[in-house]
Parts: sequence; C-alpha cells; structure tokens
Amino acid sequence: MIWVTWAQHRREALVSGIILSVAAALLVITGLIILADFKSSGAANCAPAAGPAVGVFASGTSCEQVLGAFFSRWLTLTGAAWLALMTLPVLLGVFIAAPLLSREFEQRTYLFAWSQSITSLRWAVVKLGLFVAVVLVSAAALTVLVMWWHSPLDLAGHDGPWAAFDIQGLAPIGYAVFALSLGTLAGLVIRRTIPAMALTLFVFVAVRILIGALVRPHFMTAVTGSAPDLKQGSWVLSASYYADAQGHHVSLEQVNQMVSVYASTAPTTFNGSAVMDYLHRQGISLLTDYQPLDRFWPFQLIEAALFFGLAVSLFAASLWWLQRRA
Amino acid sequence: MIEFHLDRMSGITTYWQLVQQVQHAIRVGRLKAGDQLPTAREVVARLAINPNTVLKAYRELERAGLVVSRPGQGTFVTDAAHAMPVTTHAALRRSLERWIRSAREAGLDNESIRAIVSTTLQESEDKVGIA
Amino acid sequence: MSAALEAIALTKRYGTTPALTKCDLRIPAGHVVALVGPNGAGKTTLLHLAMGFLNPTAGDIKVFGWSPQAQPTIVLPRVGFLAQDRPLYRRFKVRDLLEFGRRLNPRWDGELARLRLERLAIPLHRPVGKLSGGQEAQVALALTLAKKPDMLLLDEPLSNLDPLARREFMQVLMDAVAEEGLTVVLSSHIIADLERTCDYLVILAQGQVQLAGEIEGLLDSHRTLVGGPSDRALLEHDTSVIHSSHTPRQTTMLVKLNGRPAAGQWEEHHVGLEELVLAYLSRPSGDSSTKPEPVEPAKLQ
Repeated sequence: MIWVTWAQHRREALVSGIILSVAAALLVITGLIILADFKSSGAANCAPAAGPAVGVFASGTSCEQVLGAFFSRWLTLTGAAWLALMTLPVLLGVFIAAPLLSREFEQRTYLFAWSQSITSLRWAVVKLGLFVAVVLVSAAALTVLVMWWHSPLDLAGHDGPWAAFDIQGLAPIGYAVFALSLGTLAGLVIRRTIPAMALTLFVFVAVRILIGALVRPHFMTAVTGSAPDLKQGSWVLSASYYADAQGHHVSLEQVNQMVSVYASTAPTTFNGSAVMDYLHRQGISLLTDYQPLDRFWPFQLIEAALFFGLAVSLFAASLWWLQRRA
Repeated sequence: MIEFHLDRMSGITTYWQLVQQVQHAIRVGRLKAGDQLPTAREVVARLAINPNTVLKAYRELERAGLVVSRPGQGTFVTDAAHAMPVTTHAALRRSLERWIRSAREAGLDNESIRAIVSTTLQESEDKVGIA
Repeated sequence: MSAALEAIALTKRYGTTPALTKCDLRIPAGHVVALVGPNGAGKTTLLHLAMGFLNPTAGDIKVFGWSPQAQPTIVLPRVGFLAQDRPLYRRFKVRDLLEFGRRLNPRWDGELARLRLERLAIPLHRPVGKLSGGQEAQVALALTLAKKPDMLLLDEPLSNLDPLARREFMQVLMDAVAEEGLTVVLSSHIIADLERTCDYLVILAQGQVQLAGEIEGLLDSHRTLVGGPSDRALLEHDTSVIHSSHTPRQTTMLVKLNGRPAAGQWEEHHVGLEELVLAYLSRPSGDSSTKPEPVEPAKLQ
C-alpha cells in the first residue's frame, strides 16, 4: 500500500518537491544576503547590546538607528517572504489534501482500490499516515531553515521573533498537519473536489485568524510593565497607557493637564525625561501590556499543541466517518 | 474435429443445438467412431457460452449412447454411433415423398408443409419429455 | 454447503430513499448468475453490500457464509469485483495496475494475467486511459481474475462495449469459469447478452427479488398461453398469471404452471428468457404472491 500511495501521488510529490526546493533556495540566498548586510552594517554589533525598545520617548542611540535602518531595509523582502510562507499550508490543504480522497470518490476509483483485498480503513490509514510523515518532515526542515533565515531580524526588530511567529518555531508544522487533516476530512465527507477545496480554504483561514487574533494573546495572562523600560523582543499587545500607583487608568487629558501644571512652574530642564520624572513623582507611569521574550517558545508549544490537537481530532473523525460508511 | 456454431434466432436452446450438431455430424459421416469432441474449454473459449451447457450436451449424447467420456482424456464418439444405413434412409424418404404428394394435393404450399412438420415434431418432443 | 451469496431480509436505505427492501436471496455456488432489473432497482447496491463497501440498514448479507462487513479480510480475497464503467486509475500504465494488484492481494497470479493480456495484444506499457473500451474491459477482467477469487461480481461489465469486444470479454470470462469453476454474478439490463452464458437468474425490481432460480427450471415451469377472450375468465383469478394482455379477439398470458396443465383450451408456447424477464418486470409492484422458491431441475452430479 505504501508503494501504491507513492505511485498514485508521484506527480504531486514532484511538484511539491520543486516548490519547496525553490522556496528553500530563495531562503538560503536571501538569508545569506541579509546576514552579510547584518554584519557589514554594524547591526550585528548592536544587536546583543540592544537595550530598552523604542518607547514613546525615543532616546535615539546610534544602535537604535542602525538596527532600525537595518530592519526597515529588509522590510519589503521579509514581508513578501512571510506572506509566501503563510500560504504554504493553505496550498497543502487546498491542492493536495482536499483532492486526496475526494478524487477517489469523484472518479469512483475507490471501488477499484477497495476490491483489492484491502479494507477501506487500512487504505486510508496508510495513505494518510504516509502524507502526515512526509508533511511533518518537510515542514520541520523548512521551518528550521526559516528560523536560521529570520535570526538577524529576530535580533533587530522591536518584536523580535514574535514578528515571525507564524512562520518559525513549531507553529508552522502544526498548521501544515492541520491543513492536511482538514482537507482530507472535507474531501472524504463532501466527495466532490471543488467544494472540498473551497471549504478547506474557508475553514483553514477562519480558524487561523480566530486563533491568531483572539486566542493567542491570551495563552498566558499578559504582563503589565513600564513602557519605556520594555525590552527588545517583547510582543506588545496594547497601546501604552497612563496609570496611577494603584494601576487605574489615567486619561490623556489629565496627564496633559498635569504636564501643563509642571510647565507653568517653569522648570530648568523641560524635556521628555524630565517630564517623565515629574509624572513618576506624581505616581503616574506609562504602562503597556505585553508578552515577554522568554514566553516565545512556550507560546509556540501551546499554538502547535492546539493545531496538532485539532489535526488529530479531524483525522480521527475521518477514520470514524469511513468506518460508518463502509 | 467438429466445430460448433450457434444460431441465436432459431429458438432452440443452446445445449440442444450442440446435441443436434453432433448427431448430424455422425449421421453424415463427418464424425466417426473414436473421434474426439472438443473439450468444454475449447467450445466455451470460442462460443462464449456457459460451460455447464457444453457438459449438459455431452451428457445427453452419452445418455443416448453416441459418445463416451473418459476421465482425463476427453469425450469420444462411440463405436455404437454410426451413420444411418442408406437403406433405412431410403425407406423413410419414400414414405415422406408419398406424404408430401398428399399434402400438395390438399393445396398446401412449401411453407405450410414446413410448419406442419415443425409443430408436429415439437409436440412429439413435448410428449416424450425432452428439454 | 454455504451459498455463494445469501441475503436475509436485506434492507438498504440511502437517507430516506429505499434501495433494497427485505430482500431474500440464496445463490448457490458454481453458477453463472444473471442479475437483471431496471436501472435503480438495487443491483449495484446489492453488489456493493456484498463487497462490504456499504453497511446494510437492516438484515444480513453473507458471502460463502462470511459477513463482508465483519470479516472483510476473509471475504475480499475471495471475491473479485468489477464496478460499473470500470473505474481504473487511468493515468497508470497497465503493468502498474498489475503491480498494484500484486502488492495488495494475498493470492495473485500475475503471470497468467500478463499472458492473457499478451494473447489479446494489449500493450502493458500503455496508460489505461489510452486503451480502447474493449481493451480496458479486458484489463479490468484480467486484474479481477488474477487474484484467484472464488466468485466474481460484475456490475454491467458489457456496457459501452461494441459487439466484438463484448464477445471477447465473455470468451475470456467463460473460459475462466470452465477452468476454475468460478461463481459469477453478472448484472445487466441487456438480457440478450446473458442468455447463452448464464444458468441462474435473479430478477431485481423496486428493491425486491421478483424471481430467482435456475434458468432451465424457470423456463420449464412457465408458458405463454394464447386463447380467445372467452377463455380469459377461467384464469382470471389464478395467481400464477404473471402477465396478460388482451385484444377483443385474443388473450395472451404468461403463466407459471403450478405443476398442472392450464385449464381451458389454450395454445401453449415455450417462453424465452427475455420474455420471462419482461413479464416479471412489468408486473404491478407489490404483487409478490407469485414469487416462487428457487426452481432446480434434477441435477446430474
């Protein structure tokens, strides 16, 4: 059955292999270019020493400028790459997973396969098992490459690795397996290729957006801390806001009033840090809610676990559906 | 070796056509004592008919004493089967000629004569309980 | 000895649509069975249930005494199946399909299959999609026979084949039956194709078995009676009338003789297979009072 699955899907394997190879090649080439620029522009020297992130009151050290310039230099390229890598699981789900079983039913070749002394269950388990194995390995390999590729940007960007949460770490492997399970279930239940592809696309995108935008920020309770003291590599969840010593929000009007009061006392120095010191003395601080850098990997684990869990349930549902039918 | 053919339109069942063809071949001397009949597989491969039909025809011929089946060897025409002596033929033909003359005198044409012969034959078969 | 195929109160519904309703059937082994009926009668459903592709809604189906749902690993190697319109993997070459079969079937005689195909001059390296209809049918048949089954279930195998291709298909099939003593169930709605190859008949209509039995016995026990209109009354309430038609001058009826000759003055004619099937198919639905038990003449074993 393993040979049979391979023989049946040779073409898809070839096309996917080519796409992944091209992607890998592009990552390697661009990665080397970015790395070279990282070193030659002096950003590499700045990166480990990067202190507080740029807050509301930019302190404009030369390192900040170098890192900022480096980051924005590669913004378009990394943005495009991010987009392309985000679509890979979608392509997998829609063009490979959805037709996987639906085509067998649409063309009725399942009748031929199932009359070859193989139970429908074993047929599905081997087919899916093989695909899962190949997807896991390819996704893992590609993700490792992406992590290498993105590492200078992890160090240079304000958000650090969080900016590329969806394309590095463990999450992309989870997305790939989820797309596979979603597509095969859709194809199995709907038995028509085009509707199965459409459903897979719609549900996959919906789930990703839902989890990414609504659930992920709350995997762990956000940390509240001083905005100016925010470290590089934190994932900022909200705009900065003023709060008093008890943590109650203070409106911008009130703060402006206080600043005017301070200004009317005609202090000797009237700059950003002096204003901040004054506000501190009044018990007011600028806060923000964020997830710190050291939570990146725990969050990756949670996200991956979530999507793997979904994938496992969908695969189980597929096998149950198959047994019920047959 | 005899080669069978089938007439779909004749209304006669397949196995009976095979029996008739063997009987006819023996009668006119095309099959002689000791000749082998085609195996069931050979007949089936050519005519695409049910093997049981061939076996049934051969059993019928064996029952009538015209052939004998030797396990492992095949089915062969027996010594007992022989072409009908010309004399018996001649006697039958003379009485038939007389009958035909009477039928023509009664005003029957060839087709009516053939119809009478077939229905009478069929009825006599029914009475004996063949097929 | 177990029947080759047995259905006991077999019922199958697709949602609310009934396909088979309380079917009872007992096909003995060693026959070539014609499964006839109009489209939508449930022939394909019956064959799919026998292969375990579907689960019955109610009742049982058994193949050589085994349940295809509960014991697929025992049933599947013993039964060869050819689905309607021969769905093969058309991108595969013929020899790929042979490899396919070799890897998935415990019993496999690839050499014999290759020989058969070579004798028919079918190129093994050509994709199946590029073969003619007749060649495709031969490939499908060769694949089915190569797994050395005890029974073949063929769903309208002769559809879309020209007369020569049909003949060649039946030649190969009958040859295999002669050699290996296979039981074969052929479904079709073209009765002429089946007449000289089948010795057992099952008529399926409206999801029910209308008639089942050895063809010889069935033809023996039915007659077409032709008589005048005055004779009609004699048989009017006789439940053995399968089909009747009337003109002002003549009444024609197809009847099943219940062991005694028909009362009245009738012209008796023998019934052909096609006539018999058509008569049973044109009976009004629900009239299963004349459903006979399988008729078997004394067999010379």
